[in-house]
Amino acid sequence: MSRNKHLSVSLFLLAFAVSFPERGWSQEPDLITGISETGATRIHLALPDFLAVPRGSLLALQAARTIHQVLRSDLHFSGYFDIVNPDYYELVTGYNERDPKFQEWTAIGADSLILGKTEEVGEKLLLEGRLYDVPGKLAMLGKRYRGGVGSLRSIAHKFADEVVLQYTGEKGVAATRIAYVHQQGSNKNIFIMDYDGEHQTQLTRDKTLNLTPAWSPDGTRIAFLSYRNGFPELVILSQDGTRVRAYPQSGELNASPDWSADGKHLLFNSSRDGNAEIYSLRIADGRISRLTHHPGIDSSPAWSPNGRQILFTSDRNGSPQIYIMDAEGTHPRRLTFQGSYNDQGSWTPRGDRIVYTSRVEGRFQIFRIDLKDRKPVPLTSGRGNKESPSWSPDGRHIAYCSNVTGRYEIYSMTSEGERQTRLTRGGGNTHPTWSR
Amino acid sequence: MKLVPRRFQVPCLLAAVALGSGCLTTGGGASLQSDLDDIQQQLWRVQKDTAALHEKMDEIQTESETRPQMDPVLFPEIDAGNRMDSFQNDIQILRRRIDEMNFRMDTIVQEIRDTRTRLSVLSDGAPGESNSPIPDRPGEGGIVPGTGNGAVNPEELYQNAYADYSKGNYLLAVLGFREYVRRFPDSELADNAQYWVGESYFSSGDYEKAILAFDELVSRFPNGDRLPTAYLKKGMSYLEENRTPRGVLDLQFLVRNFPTTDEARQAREQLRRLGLAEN
Repeated sequence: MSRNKHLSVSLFLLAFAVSFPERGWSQEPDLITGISETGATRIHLALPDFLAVPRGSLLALQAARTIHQVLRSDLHFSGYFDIVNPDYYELVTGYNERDPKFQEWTAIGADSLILGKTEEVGEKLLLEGRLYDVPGKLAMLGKRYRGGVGSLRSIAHKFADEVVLQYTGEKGVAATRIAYVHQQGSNKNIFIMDYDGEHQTQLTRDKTLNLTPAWSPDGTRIAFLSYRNGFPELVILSQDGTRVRAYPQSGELNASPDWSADGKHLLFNSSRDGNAEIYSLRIADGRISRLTHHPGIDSSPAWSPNGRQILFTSDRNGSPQIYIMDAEGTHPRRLTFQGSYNDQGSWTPRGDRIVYTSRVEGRFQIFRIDLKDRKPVPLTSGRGNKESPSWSPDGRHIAYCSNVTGRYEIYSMTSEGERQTRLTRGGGNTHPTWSR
Repeated sequence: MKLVPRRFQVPCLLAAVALGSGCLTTGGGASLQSDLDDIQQQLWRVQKDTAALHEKMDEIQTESETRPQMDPVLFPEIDAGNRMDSFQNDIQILRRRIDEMNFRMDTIVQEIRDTRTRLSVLSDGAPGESNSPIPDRPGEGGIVPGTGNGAVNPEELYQNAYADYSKGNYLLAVLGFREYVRRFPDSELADNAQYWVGESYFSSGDYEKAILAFDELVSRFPNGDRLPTAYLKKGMSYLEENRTPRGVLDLQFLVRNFPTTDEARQAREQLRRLGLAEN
């Protein structure tokens, strides 16, 4: 909310000039395609401490440390980089941006090098980051940012995303956010946080229920279900918490909005016609189209990334299972056949995988299905429930909630189920949804 | 200053590679020949782009020789001499990339040629393929063993094409599903595959080809369960093409002949919005 406004004002790009496209694709094409496919081969990155100018400026020194630490963590999270052991950095001496000493960095096994500098200028901080292709002896990226102490993490995230972009052709997820529901007493409110769990910000402040948030594809708005006025409404909020629009609903069961990739429609499920069915709402004029007509319960709708298919849960054949239908609501086909309770399907932004929740031995776990082989792959196991999986925009990570500690918290993991990391504390945190 | 548009080369090449490899996995047949031609056409376009890139490089080099002062934005502290060195270096690197790109394109073209050769062998003799076991539904059923030339796993072919559709690779999806229909016309999923050919065209906004594909579905699989969906999508395609009268005919036909289906409900909704009678 106010953070973002603050950000857009205080943080701006001073200089942006990239004279060269990606680094030596010609030299290591397999590396580039290899990492994007399997995540197995990683780039060896040297990330020495950032320089703080002028000498003795505590502000600049602290900024250098913060940015360095956030950047390291972002790049590690991306899965594309292995950080070269910092103990080796002292073997390289006398380097600077004019003369990065490529050969010496090569000698300690670095493929890639980032040099950074923070400078205290008046009340503000000037931050520079440079990315070098070490074997190619090539400057790949130079960025300069100006900002206050409060925007350091965001600056680091933005630079991290630029670095990932240089190597993959696709922006990283370090500047993305996760919206979720936080329960305080009997009230539930919508919160957002950075992808790493930092900057937790409360969006709604109602003494009532706010449920199931969904991001607009451009990341500027959030749709969710609100009971603030005593009856269910589908509400669209801007990032600063202002209500943009509200669509009153009827019936007992209303939930799970999901925003189409073109930003024009919201899917939701509702019992407005007596039975839980799936509807599509045209945001421009509020026109509602009913998509399913079945005596069973149809719920948890989610768009495919190309907007031509819809994932949903239905008990039309006895137990809740995940189905896919065409965007028109026709041609339903069953996706899951294993397990007696499958729900909460979410389609990867790349289009070829689906994650969902499946009940195994009385507990909910997260499974993944690749559309190519349709074999369910368990991503989580063990104690506690794991629920509400939501893909990161690059399709490499999944946010979910779990009560494995006894209380519900938000977690993230890779698309293979590795590196399960808790992002929230204090309990009562559910329904994570990752911004696009 | 900009030497070349960012990520100009890589996506072109990847697209070409993707098209090439997608083709290779979809198997053989005369119907693929024309698609291969399309792909080759695309390759030539990439090569033309590369040539253009060459020219651009020459221009840049000329420019750099005549105009040593560069906008010192990126690395202001590097003096002009160093910048020139780094500039020359960049050009060299770009040239290396172009060479690499040419090499890769040659490889792809060669692969396409090889595939074509294999295809001609295949279409000459691959008897009994249509009798291969077909899964009742995708994801179930046995794998057809790869017994040399012509052995294609129908399930894999279908699922790959469907995954391509879901990823938005509609051209690849069309190739795959068309190939499925050609090879396994008597299988239970053949009408579904033909439906997906139409739906892929529909999703890509090529409504004319969608109409042809849905027509083919109606004529080839008159008893298939995809019929109502085909009429709905065909009608919608006509509406999208602003050929409303034709579209209305299809939608009304659908409502009359399949009155209890989800498709008929959607058709009624469409007709109501047009202010027209349901049948």
